[in-house]
Amino acid sequence: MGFEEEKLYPNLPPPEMPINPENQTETIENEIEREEVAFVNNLEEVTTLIDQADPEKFSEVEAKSIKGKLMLIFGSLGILGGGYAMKQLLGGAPSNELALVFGGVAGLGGGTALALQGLVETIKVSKFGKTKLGKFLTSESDDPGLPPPDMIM
Amino acid sequence: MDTNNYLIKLAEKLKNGTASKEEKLAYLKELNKIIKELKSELETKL
Repeated sequence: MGFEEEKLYPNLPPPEMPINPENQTETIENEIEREEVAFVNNLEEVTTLIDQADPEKFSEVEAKSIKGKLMLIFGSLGILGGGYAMKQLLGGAPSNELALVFGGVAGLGGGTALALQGLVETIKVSKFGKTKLGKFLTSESDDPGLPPPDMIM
Repeated sequence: MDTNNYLIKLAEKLKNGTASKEEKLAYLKELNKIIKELKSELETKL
């Protein structure tokens, strides 16, 4: 705002000051909600893509990379527990919450064998449990790329 | 700080209930970036 404009609009706050802090908080909450909705929609699309994909087209390295990302994504449901994503994907059942929290740790690679088991059990009881994606994530034969349980305990 | 370390740091805060709304938003944005990457990887194989 130039000098002349300042004189014309003396009651306007300086540009660096928030006009209404309450509105700013509301904007962040709205943005969080939009990101959560996008998260669920993206996850639904990924599920569909995995169900359509031909496993023969993926190398072992690619499969491990995909599985690692899926573990992180599903694990994050625990961290976001109680939010929109959990309610949409898992029905928000309280009995799943602990498994989700443990799952979150495992998904981010900083967990324990218990955490990994929590994640696997969570996916098994979720609506993804019976899909190809669910079976892929919970299969014991496929190394998810995490260290063996005795290494991370 | 690489993305994984950043995510772990944010995740720990979210898990402990000490994350701010801005940090939760940042976490969700990073997560959506990863899902989008995954979507692209899968789409190229269809």
